Amino acid sequence: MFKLKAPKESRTRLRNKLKIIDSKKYEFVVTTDKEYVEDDKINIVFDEEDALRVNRILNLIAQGEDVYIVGHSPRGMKRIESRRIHYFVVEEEEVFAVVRDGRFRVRMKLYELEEMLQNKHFIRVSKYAIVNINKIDYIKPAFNSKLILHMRNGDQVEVNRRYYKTFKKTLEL
Amino acid sequence: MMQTLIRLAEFVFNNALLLSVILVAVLFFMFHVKQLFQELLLNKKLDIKQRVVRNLERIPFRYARLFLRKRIVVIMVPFVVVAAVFMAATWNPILFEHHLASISNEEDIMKVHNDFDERFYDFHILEADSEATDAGVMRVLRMQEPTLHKGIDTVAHDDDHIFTIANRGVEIIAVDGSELEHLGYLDYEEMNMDGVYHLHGIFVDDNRLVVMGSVTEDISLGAANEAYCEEEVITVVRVFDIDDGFSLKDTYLMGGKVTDAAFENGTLSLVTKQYLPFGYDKFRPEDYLPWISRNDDTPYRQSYDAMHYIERVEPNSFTSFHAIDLERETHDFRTLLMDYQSEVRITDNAFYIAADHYRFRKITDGMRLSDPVESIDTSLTKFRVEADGTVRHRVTLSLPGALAFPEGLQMSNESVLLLTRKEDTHRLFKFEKNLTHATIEHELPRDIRVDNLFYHDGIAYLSCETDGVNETRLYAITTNSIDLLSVHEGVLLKEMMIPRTGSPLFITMERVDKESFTLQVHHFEEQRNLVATTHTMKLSVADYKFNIIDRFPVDRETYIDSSSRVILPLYAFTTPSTQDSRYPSVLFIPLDEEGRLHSPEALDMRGVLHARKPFSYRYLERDGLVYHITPRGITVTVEDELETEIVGELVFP
Repeated sequence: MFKLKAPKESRTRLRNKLKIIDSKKYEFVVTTDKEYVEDDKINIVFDEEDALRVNRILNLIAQGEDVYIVGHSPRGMKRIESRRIHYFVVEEEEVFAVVRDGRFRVRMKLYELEEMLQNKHFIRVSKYAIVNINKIDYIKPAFNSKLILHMRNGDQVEVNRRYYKTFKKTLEL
Repeated sequence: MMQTLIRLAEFVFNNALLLSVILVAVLFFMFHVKQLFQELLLNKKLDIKQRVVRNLERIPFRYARLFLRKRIVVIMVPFVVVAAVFMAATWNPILFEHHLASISNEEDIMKVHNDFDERFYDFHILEADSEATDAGVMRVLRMQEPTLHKGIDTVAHDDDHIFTIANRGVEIIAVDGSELEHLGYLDYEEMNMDGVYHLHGIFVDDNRLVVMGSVTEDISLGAANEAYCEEEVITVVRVFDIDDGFSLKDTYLMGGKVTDAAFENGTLSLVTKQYLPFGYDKFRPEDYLPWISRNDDTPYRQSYDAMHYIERVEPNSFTSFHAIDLERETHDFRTLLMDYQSEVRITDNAFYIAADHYRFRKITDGMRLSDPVESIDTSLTKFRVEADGTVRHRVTLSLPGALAFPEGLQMSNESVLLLTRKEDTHRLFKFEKNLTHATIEHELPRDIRVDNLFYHDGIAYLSCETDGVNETRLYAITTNSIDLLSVHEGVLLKEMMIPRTGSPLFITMERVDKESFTLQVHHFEEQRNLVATTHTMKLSVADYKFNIIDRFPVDRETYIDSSSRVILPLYAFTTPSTQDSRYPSVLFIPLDEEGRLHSPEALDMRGVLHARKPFSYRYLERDGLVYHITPRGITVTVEDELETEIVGELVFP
C-alpha cells in the first residue's frame, strides 16, 4: 500500500514514527525529499516535524472511509461499523454479523457483503463465511488442507479447501 | 550387490514390526513438523498483513504460541512410542554375575533360549533350512563318533581276567599265564531297553566291572511338528560284581548322552548332554531336564536352582556334570544350560569346559542384524568333585578369541592350556588348575595358522601352516618362558608322544606313496630351543600295502612297549590287493636310546584281529608275556619273540 522513501540515515527513524511496512505493490510514496517522488504514484511529501500528523493521515488512507452495516437483534436495529465486525456467517439461510460480544442478523446476501467489503480487508473463507483479516488472532493448519482461524472474540472459523489458496494469496503482500 | 539386497531384505523381514513402528513415528513426526512450519509461515504473513493495513488493534505475533505444551506432547508421542518398543525389547535383561546367570524356573530357561535364538538365528531366516540342516548333520555325526575316555577303554583287566568289548557284548576271559579260558559274555541284548544300545567303555574298580553305554530312541514331537524328530538318549552305567559270578550290582540311569567321562581315584566323572530342540520354540524345558536314577529308585530330576547359564554361550543343551562314587554308592550332579558342542576335559576329579561365548552388537538388544556377532570369545569353566562327592562350580572365565579347534583345550598334570583364535591371531593361555589367572598369555605371529596342538611336560607343540608356505611346521613353545620359540619344518600327519628319560620324543608319520610311509622321531632340545629330528625311517613292507586302521587310545603312550618298540596296528594287503586280501597285522618298530628307528617286526594276526569298525587293538604286557587283545580274540606271545613264539590264542565263540 505504502512505500517509504527517505535518506538512509533517517529511514529507520521515520519508519518507526510512521509505522510503515513497505509493500511490493504500492500506491502511495511517502517521502521527506522531493527527489524521491514517483510520477505514477500518489506522493505524500512531508517535513519530518509533521510525522505524527502524517501518521494519522496514513491510518485514514489505510482504513478508508467507514462502511456501516445494518444489523438486527431482538433489541432492535443497529448500524455497525464494518471494522468492528469479526466475520459474517450463514446459519439456517440467515446471514449474521458477529462482533466481539454478540451477533446481528443482516438482511443482505453473503456475496453482496463480499462485494461491498472487498476493500475493507474482508475475505471469503467458505461458502458460509466472510472474515475480517484484522480480527484474526491466529491461524492454525488442520488436516485436509484446511485452516482454522482463531478470531479475537474466541470463535473459530474454518477456511474451506476451496478457499485455501485464495486466503493464502490474500496474506501475501 | 545381490548379497546386499538379500541382507537388506533379511533385515527388513526380521525387523518388520520395529521398522513399521519407526516408520509410522517418523511420518507422524514429519507431518507435525510440516504443520509447524506452515503455521509459522501463515501467522508471520498475517502479522505483516495486519501491520501493512495499519490495524491498530493488532496483537503482535508471538513465536511461543507455536510451542504450546499440548503440541510438544503430540510431537513427542512418536519418540515415546519408539523408546517404549526398544524398552520392551530390552526389558528385564539377563543378568550375569561372574559370567554366570542363575536359573530359577522354566521361564528363565525359555527366556535365555529365545533371547539367544532371536539374536543369533533370526537373521538366517531366508536361509534357515540349509543352516538348520547343516547344524543338525554336524551334531548327528558328532553323536555317532565313539569317544574314548580316561580310565575307561574297550579293554579292561584285573589280576585274573581280561574283559574286552566285542560284537555281542563284553567278553570275559580268565587268564593264567598263557592259558586263556573264555568264561562267557555280558550280553548287549540284556542291557538293551527300548532303543539302540551303544557301548562306550568298560573299566575295573576293585572287584567291580563297570560297563558304560547309552540307549538311543528316536521320538517324534507329534503332529504339531511332524518334520521334527529327535533322539532320546539315556546313559546307562552298570556295575557287575566280579567276585559274585558277574552278578549285576547297581544300575545308574541318566537322562542325556554321555560325551565325556573319566574314572579316577574311585570316582566315575561323567558329562551328559541333553540337546534341546532346534528351531522349535514351543518345547517345555521340563521334558528335557537331566535326571538320574539308581536301581529301582524314583528318578531324581535336576532342580532349576542347581542350574546356571554361562554368559552368551549358545543355550542349546542341558550339560550335566555327574560324579558317581562306586564305593560309597553316592551320586551328585550340576547342570549348565549351554552349547552342546562345548569341549570338556576331565582330570583330577575336575571338569574343565570351554565353549564359544558370543559378544553381540549392542544394537541387537532391539534390532535384528545380518551379522549380529561382534566377536566370539571363549568361556572357560571349572567344576570340581569335592571330597564329600558333591560337584561344585569353581570359576568361569571369559578369554579373548574363539577356541581355535576342539583340541585347543589341553591338560597336563599341573596346568591347563588353551589356544584361541581371533581375527587370524592365535593366543595361547596357560593357567594353573585353579584357573585364577593366566600365568602365560602368548600371542603368535599373525601369519601362522595353527592346525593342531600338543601339550606335554610344560611344552606346547603347535603344528602350523604359514601363509604362502605350503608345508606344515612344528613349533615348540615352552610355556614357562614364552620367548622360546623354535621351528621345525616337516609334514606332520600323525603324532605320538613317547615318554623317555630326558626329553619327550615325538613321532610324526608321513605317507609317501601308496606303498610306503616315513616315520620321523623328533625331540625338543631345551638348550638349543628347537625341535630336532633325531631320525627318519622309510617303511615299505615287501608284500604288504598298508593302511593305518586303529584309533589311538586316549593315552597315546600305550603305543610304545617296555622294549621301546613303537606299535602300529594296521591292515596289510597281499598283492594284488583286493578287499578279500586285506588282513590285520601289527608292526613293532624298535626305537633305540638315541631315538633311531630300526627294521620293524610284523605280527600276522589274521586269526584274532578283526575287520570290524572301529578297529581296536590293545597291548598288555605281564610276566614276560604279551597279550594282543581285540574284539575277536586274544593272542599271547613271548616278549621279544613276536614272530616265532605264539604261545596262546583264543578266538571268541
